[in-house]
Amino acid sequence: MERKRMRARITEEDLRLSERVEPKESFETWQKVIDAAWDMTIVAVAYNDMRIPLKRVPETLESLESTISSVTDEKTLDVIEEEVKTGIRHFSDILEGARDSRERMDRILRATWNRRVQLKT
Amino acid sequence: MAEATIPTFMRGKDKIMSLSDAVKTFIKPGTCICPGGFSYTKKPFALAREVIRQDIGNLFITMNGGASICEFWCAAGLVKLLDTTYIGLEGIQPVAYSVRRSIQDGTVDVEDYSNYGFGLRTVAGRYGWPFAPLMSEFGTSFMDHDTFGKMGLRGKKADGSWIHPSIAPARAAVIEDPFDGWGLRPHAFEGGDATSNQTNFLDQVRESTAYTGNKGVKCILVPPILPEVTIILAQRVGEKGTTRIEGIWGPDNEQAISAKNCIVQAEKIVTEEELRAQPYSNTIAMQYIDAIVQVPYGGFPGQVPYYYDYDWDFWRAYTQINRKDKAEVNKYIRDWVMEDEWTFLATRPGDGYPTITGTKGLERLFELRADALYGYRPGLARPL
Amino acid sequence: MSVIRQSDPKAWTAVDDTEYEAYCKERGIDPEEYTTMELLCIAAARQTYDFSFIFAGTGLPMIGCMMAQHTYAPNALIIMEAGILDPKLLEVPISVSEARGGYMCSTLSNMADTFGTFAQRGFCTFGMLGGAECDKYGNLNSTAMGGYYSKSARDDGKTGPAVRFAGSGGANNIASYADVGLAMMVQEKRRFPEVNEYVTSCTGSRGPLGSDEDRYHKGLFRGSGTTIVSDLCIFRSSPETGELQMAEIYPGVEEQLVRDNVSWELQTAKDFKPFAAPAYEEIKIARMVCDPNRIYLGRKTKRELAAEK
Repeated sequence: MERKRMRARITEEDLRLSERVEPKESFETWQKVIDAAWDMTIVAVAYNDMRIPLKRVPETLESLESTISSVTDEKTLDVIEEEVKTGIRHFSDILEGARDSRERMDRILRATWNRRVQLKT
Repeated sequence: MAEATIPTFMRGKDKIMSLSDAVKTFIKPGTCICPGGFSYTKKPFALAREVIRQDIGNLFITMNGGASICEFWCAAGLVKLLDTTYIGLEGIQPVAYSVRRSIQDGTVDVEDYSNYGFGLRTVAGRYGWPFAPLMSEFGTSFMDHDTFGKMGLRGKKADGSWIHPSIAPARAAVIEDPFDGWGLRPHAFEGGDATSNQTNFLDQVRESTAYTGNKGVKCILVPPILPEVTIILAQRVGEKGTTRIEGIWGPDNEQAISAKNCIVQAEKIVTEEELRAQPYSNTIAMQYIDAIVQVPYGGFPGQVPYYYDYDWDFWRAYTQINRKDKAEVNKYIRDWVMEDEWTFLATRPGDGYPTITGTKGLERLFELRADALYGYRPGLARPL
Repeated sequence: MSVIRQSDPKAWTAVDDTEYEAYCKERGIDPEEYTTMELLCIAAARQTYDFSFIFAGTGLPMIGCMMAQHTYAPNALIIMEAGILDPKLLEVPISVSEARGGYMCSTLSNMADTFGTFAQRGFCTFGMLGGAECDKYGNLNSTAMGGYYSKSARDDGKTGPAVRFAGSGGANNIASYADVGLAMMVQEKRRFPEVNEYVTSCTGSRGPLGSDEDRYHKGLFRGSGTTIVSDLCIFRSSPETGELQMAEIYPGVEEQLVRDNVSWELQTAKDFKPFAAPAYEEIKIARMVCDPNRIYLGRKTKRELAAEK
């Protein structure tokens, strides 16, 4: 039905602005929704930039791992350890931030479900 | 239309070359070459070392942003002409000694611009403009000194071709501003302008008859730079040439785009897709890059932001080395670069100068790793 | 021009006294005595004002602007020509392009853009420079002495200039665009001639104010005088004539020594005053915050070296 209406010519009726109505949701609520949506978007945009390198890291680490058995100088092992420790520091931060956010997202989905039920009854 | 040939800049993965091939292909004796980066930051030192290995001389350097590469090339006696703004090594050596000595003893001829004057030349070069407007350099000796002009390198030959394809027919020109200084800030907005600058002496400037003989606001026009080859360093380059520079650009994007050809020295070559996921972070479009060479740590002894810091101890010692006898410095620099880049990186870092740990080669390089959250290595020991 | 000065030491970056004393002990330096480089750095910082845009050249201005930000001008914004606006300087940079200078800056771009967007556009109020030679009207030469031209462009048979310096870099542009200039220099008679043989940057009036030789009559639309911070005194452009005048003199320096080390008849500024010796707090910040490695502060002038002998 909607599709059909969109295919029809735009009538004068369609172009009329509606009568003023009060928003159904409070400004504060929408503000919170927007805040969260934008913050998740900021991270998603940044993630888009690291998506491919992030997929590559396991591969390069795997090939590094397979090379370790052929390392001949102990000092090279020092370097590898140092680099991997730095990696652990950064990746742990990413992981921790992602896990915290992810858990909260689950909680929000549960909360919206509960609220939906409340609104229905 | 005639049958289409694939232009060099459209070539796909065969832009990826070895260091020696890239230098051999694009840099010949006498080439007008523009080294990118700035002082200690993101200087394409691996390419610079390869030029020394291949002993390509008589070079014409057009450059903005610190003289570290020029210093090595002058030390190796490879430079003939220099079109520049600054020949110091900043905080480490106020004047790069080999460059200074070469100018004083007559081996190198030099033309000077101010940084913004040169910067605008790179902007003109980037956009293919015939010139760019400069409101600086007035009243100084830049206005009446022209080395290349005095050397007869400007203008046309009898057959109508340019005497030198990379030297403009004039160093600069002065015109009367057709808009009478209207665009200059602070501007006469209602209630004043919102710039931080307060002084605007245009009323006095309008009384001036300097340079043209007529009263009015003057403007200097500077010509573009048109180097044959620009060499730059970037952290990541896509396999077709899309280039992403992280941290300060220095003059790189303008200079790369101004040139006929550009060689980029990459810390890592990646897929185009990786960089195009976020195209607004990319610095140089693919078609300006003609050759890509992957040389991790190739920016040593300089700094590549977020990857590694400069080797302070090297530079500290080098400023002692470059004040030795000219022939000795020449021999030093040629010995220093070794026969190829890998041998160099595995051997020379930490070699021939005192460091706290005494490590050499790749271990030394890993000591210089930057903290990705700062861009440099916080607390790097920098003894004087 | 309204100038907001910030000199309340309570707003300065705090440094622990005990830590400072320990640092001095380890380095074998007197916590209450200052060197010439420290004096230059502190004197330069005292000339700055808060809420200004300090466009800093390379070399000594790196530490001068850092000192200003931690003391007299905590809200000043620093511009560095390689593309940096308003960085947080945790460690003193050795180059205007390096990552230490770019940490936490507002934007990071390129050189042409920095001069265009900040200097030409109207955000370069305070220009801080170094120089090799300075004349009576505050013109700096940082290019060459003994004839500018290199061999193939010379007519005198010499192989090149007697001494070649670094060249302008951004100095010419900073001097052209700043409301007020400042140059930090070592003072020797030969470095303070009446007229420079080569003018790289006009930080002051260029020639007598009001004459055809002043900066405005040569086409520069900005700039209103300069301060030269030497290792003996502070010179300032006379607002009437544009000539550099002795404005402040460091403790323990005889006026005659200053006069003996310039090549023109030096006038004393109307508001001449002695320069208050660097305070303990200032020296502490210079050392501990700005340059603990003593990259700049550890340097000695010829005069200091001669005094040591």
